[in-house]
Amino acid sequence: MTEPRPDSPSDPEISRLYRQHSTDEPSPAVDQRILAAARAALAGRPANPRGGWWQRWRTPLALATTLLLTVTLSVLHERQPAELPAERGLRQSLPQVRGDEPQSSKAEQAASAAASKAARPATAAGPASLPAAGRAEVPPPAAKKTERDAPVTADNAAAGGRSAAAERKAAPAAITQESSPAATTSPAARSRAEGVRTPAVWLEEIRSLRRAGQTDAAERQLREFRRVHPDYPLPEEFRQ
Amino acid sequence: MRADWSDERLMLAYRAGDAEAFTALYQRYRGSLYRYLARQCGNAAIAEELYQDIWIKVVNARADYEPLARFSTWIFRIAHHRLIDHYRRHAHQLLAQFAPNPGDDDPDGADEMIAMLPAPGHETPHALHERQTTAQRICLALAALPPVQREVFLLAEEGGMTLEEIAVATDTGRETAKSRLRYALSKLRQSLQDLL
Repeated sequence: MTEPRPDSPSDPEISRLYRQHSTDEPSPAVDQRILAAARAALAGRPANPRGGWWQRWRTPLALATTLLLTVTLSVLHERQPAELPAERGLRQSLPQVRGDEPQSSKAEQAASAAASKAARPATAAGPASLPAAGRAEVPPPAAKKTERDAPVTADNAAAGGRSAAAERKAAPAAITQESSPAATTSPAARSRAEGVRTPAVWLEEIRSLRRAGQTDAAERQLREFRRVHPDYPLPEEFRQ
Repeated sequence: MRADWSDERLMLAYRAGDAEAFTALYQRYRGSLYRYLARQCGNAAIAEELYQDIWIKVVNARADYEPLARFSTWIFRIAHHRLIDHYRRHAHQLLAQFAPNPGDDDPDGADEMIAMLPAPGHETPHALHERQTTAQRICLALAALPPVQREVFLLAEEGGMTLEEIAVATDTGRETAKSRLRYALSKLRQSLQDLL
């Protein structure tokens, strides 16, 4: 017990007399009820909000986990489009188009070389490839929407000063247009064609050949284009 | 081992799930809390009822217990409020005496008034001197005190509390508690002089 301060009133004789004769106590039945209630409260433990470490930390841990997951997904989402191989291929092909007009002859030669290489396995395939080429004459209904987009994409490719945003916008269209004919051509020809240029770029090269008066080369390129991309909706100027 | 623990440590151990800590704590305050209630309400049956209520409050309040003050101060404060609640229901005239005194800075004036309260004539210690044992005479001497003086005396004797702790437990100022204790001791000495 705490020692009383000096100014605290006290009477040691009264205190001694009181303590000697004050022996009242509660009944054992009350003792048992109280102790049983105390044990029962612990058995149920309904009133202990502090609980274990898990109860204290589960909310901060849940918040931290959610935050970490959100940041990770955001970072992955930002990086993923830049790593698509199709977009890399598109970016590699775009500088050829941006180049000056005189360089188109070099591009034409490279394109015709690639096309002649691609033509050999295609001709080996024989008549099986002809229906695919025939289908290219009449675009399927599903491609009607992309038909409207294709000239826009081609124009964009022809424009020298287009923005990077426009490149990204054009890329998905090119990818979807390439993906459908891929099933009908040989893997070797498909990989060569995809690695060199997109259909829009290829068509622009054919336009350049026509403007340069090289109609034979342009026709060859167009035939090769139809073979490689039988489902690609051709612009009006290329339809015969 | 638990015999060496402080009251506060025992209560914290009970809060953490140690039932034996509660038993040890209960044994320490079993007699003193009961006698405080029995002397204050003057009825053993009511005292037991209040006593049980107070311990159940302690059990239920264990989660919120923080050792900000001594455990004795905490439990006797609970007992004080339980008594006030009892008076509110059963003895309005006593409740008026326990009401907090706004003139706490002038406690002597209030205690003068309290000291003027008469004890019941048929219970004066002198009238029952010949037929009461010493223990009964002490009980009667205490019963003759005004309730607030008796409470301060019991908190000092049974709870071993200082004036500051008594003031906290009874919602009064230290000087008020000091004055009440001084009056209580003086009256008890006067009543029990032949036993000293």
